[in-house]
Amino acid sequence: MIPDNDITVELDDVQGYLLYAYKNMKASRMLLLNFPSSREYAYGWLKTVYPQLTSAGLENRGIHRCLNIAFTPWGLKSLGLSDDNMKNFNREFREGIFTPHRQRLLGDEDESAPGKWRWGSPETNDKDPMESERVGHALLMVFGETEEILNGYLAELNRNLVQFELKEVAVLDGYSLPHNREHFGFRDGISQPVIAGSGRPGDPSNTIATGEFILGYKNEYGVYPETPIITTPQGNMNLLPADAAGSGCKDLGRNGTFLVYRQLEQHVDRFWKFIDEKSILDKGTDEERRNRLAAKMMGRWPSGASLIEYPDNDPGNSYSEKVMLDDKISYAGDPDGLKCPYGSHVRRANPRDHFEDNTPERSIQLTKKHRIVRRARPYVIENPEEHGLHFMCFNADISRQFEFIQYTWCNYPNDGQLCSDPDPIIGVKHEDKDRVFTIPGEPVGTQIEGLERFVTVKGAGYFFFPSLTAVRYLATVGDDGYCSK
Amino acid sequence: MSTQKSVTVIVPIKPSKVDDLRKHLLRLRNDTRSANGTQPDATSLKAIEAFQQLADTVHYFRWTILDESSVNGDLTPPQLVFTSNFDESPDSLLLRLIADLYEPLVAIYDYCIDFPQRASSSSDETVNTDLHVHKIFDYLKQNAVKSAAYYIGSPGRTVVDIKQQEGLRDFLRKHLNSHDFKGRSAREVHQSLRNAAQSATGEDKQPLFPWLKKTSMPTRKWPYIVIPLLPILIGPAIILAVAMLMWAIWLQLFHERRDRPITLMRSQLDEAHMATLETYEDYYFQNQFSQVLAVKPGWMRLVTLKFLLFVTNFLSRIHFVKGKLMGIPTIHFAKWIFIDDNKRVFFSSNFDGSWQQYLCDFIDKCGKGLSAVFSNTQLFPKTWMLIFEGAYDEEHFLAWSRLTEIDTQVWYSAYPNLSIKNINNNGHIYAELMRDLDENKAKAFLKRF
Repeated sequence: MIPDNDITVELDDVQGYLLYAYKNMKASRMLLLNFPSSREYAYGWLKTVYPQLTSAGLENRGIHRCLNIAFTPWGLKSLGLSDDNMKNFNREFREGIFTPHRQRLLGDEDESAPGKWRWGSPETNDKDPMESERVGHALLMVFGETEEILNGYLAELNRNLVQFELKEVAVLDGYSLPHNREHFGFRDGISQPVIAGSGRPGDPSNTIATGEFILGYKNEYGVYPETPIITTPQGNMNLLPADAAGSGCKDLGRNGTFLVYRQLEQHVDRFWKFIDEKSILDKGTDEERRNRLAAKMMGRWPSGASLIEYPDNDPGNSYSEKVMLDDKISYAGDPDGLKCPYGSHVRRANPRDHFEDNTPERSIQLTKKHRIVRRARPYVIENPEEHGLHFMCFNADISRQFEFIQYTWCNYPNDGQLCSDPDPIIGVKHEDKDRVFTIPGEPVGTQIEGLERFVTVKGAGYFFFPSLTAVRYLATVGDDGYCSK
Repeated sequence: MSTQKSVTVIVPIKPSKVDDLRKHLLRLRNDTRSANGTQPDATSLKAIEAFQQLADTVHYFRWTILDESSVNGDLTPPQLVFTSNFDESPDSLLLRLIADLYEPLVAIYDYCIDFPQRASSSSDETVNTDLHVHKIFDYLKQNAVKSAAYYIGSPGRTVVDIKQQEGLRDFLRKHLNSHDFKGRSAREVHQSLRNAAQSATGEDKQPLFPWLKKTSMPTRKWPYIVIPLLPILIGPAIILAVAMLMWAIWLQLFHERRDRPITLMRSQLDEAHMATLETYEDYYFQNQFSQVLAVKPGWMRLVTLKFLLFVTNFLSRIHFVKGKLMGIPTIHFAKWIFIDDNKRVFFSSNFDGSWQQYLCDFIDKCGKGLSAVFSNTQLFPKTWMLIFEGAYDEEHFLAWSRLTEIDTQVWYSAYPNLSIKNINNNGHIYAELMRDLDENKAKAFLKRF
């Protein structure tokens, strides 16, 4: 019996991608755009966009195409949001994902260094992002149920892009692979937090306070997350709601959130070659031994089945639907990681009910403060061929959620009892030759030595993913602040 | 068993020289951080080399400038804090510091008030140096201040122990990786590991681990004498609890409600201040934290703070001895020091992971204890009855932490990539390796790898 989750969120004002993965949208294109130098044109374009935006409102179920939008801080500045008001955004967003400090935290070094990205970072370290052609201003997220629908929609949207002189910085196409598998061959997007107040039923252990994902509501600490309030009035202030935290200011953030976007190239051949070499002495057929080691590193079988329930073999795709519906994995019964290694990607990115030496209840309470809503879409580029994943996630506090997971749980090699084990899928740096992956066992576990990095960051950004109201408001920020009483 | 010692020396800086000193220290910092990539100049290179010579006994040290500031209307002068954790007596550490770091130390303290000048009374320069060394020693001693509370993450474990035991763990792990133990009992594996360690020799044919011997985990326990006394202590304990409750009510009614808490959020903090702090974070898997807090006015606040830090210190000796301070599992060393005639508190710690993780731990694991202590200092988020709300007001608490944090110009860690959990685990591995274990204990032992 799954408890109800009453709707307390203003769903009609929240952009849909935050609540729905748009799984039936087989095709998607994310357009990173620069605004024209004329602000009037930018406002004109925004005014064509906001009536089309897909909200999380129930009336949008069963539609065939979706449109959402997100902004970089440089986009908001270009639109004319004043410096005073920009300052009310959190520093992670304002400074960008590419700063030297963030580079250290996120492990974006060598081939993954921001200087080598295709988009999202300034051309050189010392270049002002406002002068950069590459950081982008707005991310237009277009989805279609089929390729044809998407292309039709893009053609429509393109007329406005041309008319209002927006420039394309990056074109990021995504697909849904069969059985939702990403390129390494694993089922993705299985466990997601349920947002309290979203109307979706969910187990209490997996239902997270609204304010962890949507601004303007209380978070897991029972307080309101930091939100971009408008301290210096500008534009049509009538549009904006009041700050729920009681500052007396209008809140640009309410019903919005922050989007983290990382385009990750996956070195599929290198990954399986590594797996093959490291499992060569194991028993079973080639496929069995390879899948076994890969599953230990990933923390799930390729089908998505849990190593806790199926420690020995992958039950295969027949299991997938059950997985989707019932994702009740408990690590508390596997404290030593004999079934699912505690160093595996999935377990460390969400330790669930087994966190440090806490009780299961306490663990859940603690891990709830570091959850993200994940949205990932695989991609393929031809000539030269490149496989990868558009990794996206939503969170209200980038530092405590996305960055914490990436650094403290994934990149940090001393996590828990481990000594030199980064996340074997996303946490290994190029120079980390002495890093290992430990597979606990009895009497003695084994260690996979000489870990390699199998993903390369090709572009990344922190975006503001505003409410529909806020998008509407942003088309007015060029006006003097007015507010009719 | 002796425990790690601590020393803190605070001296006033010549007001006109604060910026010069800062620049000087920053040059040293650039070189204590290999990742920073700037080319050290000759003097700082020398200083770095000298730092290395302290490495066999010094766990951590830092130099931190306390800028001039106004506390309750009184001006406090700019000061330089040196604080360190080490394995020898404070006198011997200071003497060695002066001897090994003579030139870098003189270069630093020349910027400070009343630093003894080198005399040229003798024609023999070594005599002059000797004289100067003694004067510097007296100067540092005179300016040494005691900690109000001092926490040690791994009591009794020296730098040498930590490095040896890390080497031992590495060796044992490699032994496990290179041998097939399938079908062997845990006891057999344990035995095999012990034999391997005992017979291991280096390239010079000398034993690799000549220091291996039967040992126990260095921990302290409640003195057994307390146990029969417990029933007698119940009465006084109740009285104490009631008194503390009354005290908290009084503070709530007549102090806390009138105090001005922080209203800033993190985004509203000074950009330059935040940039300075973050520029030097997360180069290693450890970080440091330095914080200066003004004690709220009134004797009740001071008494409360002194009492709570006394209790913290007491518990750090007998209860927080297994790598957790009030539940926080990532702190190597922490200390609280009263400065400026009890007007302010200097808090410093060395911890694992990022600032965000550290602060989350603070709220999640010991928000109440923390609120009780820090709510007696200015700007702390409003508490209720000393322990409620306060740190749980997440956004303002985080902003408060950053606002009151100060930049540490030079920071040294002897083992920047080891966590306190690793250190304690390595200690257990060593102790258990040398003990005879039954099958279950041997299984538990093997899980430590």
